[in-house]
Amino acid sequence: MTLIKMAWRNLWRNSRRTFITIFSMAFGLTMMIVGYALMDGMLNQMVHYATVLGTSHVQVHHPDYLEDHSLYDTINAPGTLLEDISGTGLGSAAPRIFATALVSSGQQSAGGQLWGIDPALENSVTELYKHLETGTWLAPDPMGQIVLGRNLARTLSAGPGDEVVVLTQAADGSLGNALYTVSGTLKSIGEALDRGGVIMHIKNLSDLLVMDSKVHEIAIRLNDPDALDTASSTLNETLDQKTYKVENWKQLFPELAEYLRVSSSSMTIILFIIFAVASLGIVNTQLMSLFERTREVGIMRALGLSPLSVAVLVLFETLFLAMIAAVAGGIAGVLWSLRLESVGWDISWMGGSFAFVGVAFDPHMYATLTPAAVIDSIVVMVIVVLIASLYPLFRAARISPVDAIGRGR
Amino acid sequence: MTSLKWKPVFLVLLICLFSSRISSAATAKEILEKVDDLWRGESSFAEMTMEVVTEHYERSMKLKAWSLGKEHSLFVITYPPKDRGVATLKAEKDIWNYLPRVNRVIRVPTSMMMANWMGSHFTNDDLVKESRMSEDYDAEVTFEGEKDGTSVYEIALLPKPEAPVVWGRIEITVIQETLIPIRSLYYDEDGILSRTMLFDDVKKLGGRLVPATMVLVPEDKPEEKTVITYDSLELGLGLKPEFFSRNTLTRKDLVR
Repeated sequence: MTLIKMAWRNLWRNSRRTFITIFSMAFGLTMMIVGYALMDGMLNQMVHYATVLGTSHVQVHHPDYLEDHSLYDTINAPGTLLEDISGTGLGSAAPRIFATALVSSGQQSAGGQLWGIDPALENSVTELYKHLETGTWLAPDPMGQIVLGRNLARTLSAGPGDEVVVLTQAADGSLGNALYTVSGTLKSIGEALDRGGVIMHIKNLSDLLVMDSKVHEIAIRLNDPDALDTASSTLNETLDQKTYKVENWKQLFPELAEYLRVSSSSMTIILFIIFAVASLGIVNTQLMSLFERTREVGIMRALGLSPLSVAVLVLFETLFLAMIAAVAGGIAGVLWSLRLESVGWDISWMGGSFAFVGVAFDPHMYATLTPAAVIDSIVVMVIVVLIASLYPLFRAARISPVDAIGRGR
Repeated sequence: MTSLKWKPVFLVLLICLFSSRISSAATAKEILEKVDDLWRGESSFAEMTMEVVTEHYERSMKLKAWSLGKEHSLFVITYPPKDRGVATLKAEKDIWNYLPRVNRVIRVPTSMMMANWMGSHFTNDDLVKESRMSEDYDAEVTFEGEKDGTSVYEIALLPKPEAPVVWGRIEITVIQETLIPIRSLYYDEDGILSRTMLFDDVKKLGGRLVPATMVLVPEDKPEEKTVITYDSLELGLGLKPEFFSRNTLTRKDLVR
């Protein structure tokens, strides 16, 4: 008890140094928490872009469809399948049809990827409808409207109100051709959609391709995105695996899943390194303060204080520093992170929107603050500080009373 | 994207048409060159039927085709009603499609050259490449003699080093006496047989002996095929290059 009191008082004998030490530790902790939250936010954004803006969490196809995207590898009873999926209560599902086509406006033509979607269902699965650059999203009824990917719209010099000819090979071998009106254009979403995306009502595309009611894909948005593996296996049990193939976004985007996995573990390592560098300052401060008090420690030892007690005294000083820094830095880090969570961080000055591992980004980062960010950071800080104090601790315990008292004069 | 598939067919047809004038001692190169020379300035009009059989569908189409020399050709579909009036123009290096339903003329971009035409086994690229066989390939007679009771030449075409072609090798078997082709084999760049074209039903059309039927079979799907049958053929119509214009594409009287 006395040692605790002594440790506390010792701290304030040189209050300026103590403040500087606390400040540097607290600042390090703040940066750690904010960095952690930004990293989490970025990873979340990546998953969001990869899933809610197109792929969705889980997809169901004909077993061969993803291999060569053949028009004929279809899901033949989408109605029943949609019912089966909604019966599991896992989330919302929407049907899709795809085809490649020649898209032409005025004198310009380009290759395009046609997406037939049912706006009423699709809007509960993906948030593409929220990512329009110009114009409006598709109406719930098939009205011959299309929404173009950003780069395709530029290639065709087409915008809302313009007419676009779509030319493709229908399922019966005939030349499907029709005229559609652009209702809107998308923001940058991902390379494939940007370059060739032509999104239209599933009924319009089905007519163009002579597909009857067959579809190529059922996209599912899970109510609980974290229960990805459970959901996949539930669907695999529910659906006939000979007729359907169920894949989640981690299987569809293995690079992204791998990147996320590596990121979270590498993040911890990076935080450790950052704080280890900062801890050199702590070692320095502790040693300085110890050298100043060599004579004092010598007298305490002469008065009967054991080497262990001296070590404990220094340890308490360090722990007080760490606790004050944890509270101050923790509060600052949480406040800053919360601000970045609501307002975000505009990084468009770094060069507009960008793509990473094939996923496009808004040039506006949002942090995601999790309890883990705060707890992990504080734990890492305390561990690093304790490790950093080992050497000063050891030095303090080994001070010999005779040498220490003699040296002072 | 629709029109290009026809060009190889036309080339072969032209070869057939003019082959009888070539002496039997002609070298492979001479045969091809003479065919090319004879082509120039010549114009033709043909009516044909195309039948396509694939794993997923079977369809039959009727077409009208005009051509002038090596650089100009024009195709119009007259049947089935759904595709009636769809027209394809090859003029110089460009290919244009006219779509009556949306009343638009669309240029086929280079990225679509390998797309198939009207669901058949011909690609757009076939049409463009057909007209330049003797320019892009070195020809050589690899066999001269009797096969299955007929005296034939076998001519191998190898692409010239810089030629922008799809095939690694083409082998054509021609009857010596008439210089009418029997069969063409198309090999890809790895030397693997990719597709086979068979010529049959030799008869007199437009005043010449020609094989009226051509069957294209893709090697990887031997149960599929595209069959072209010439119903009629007229030669030396005196068509002008101006006829092969985008304005002509949209003419309503083409399908009549």
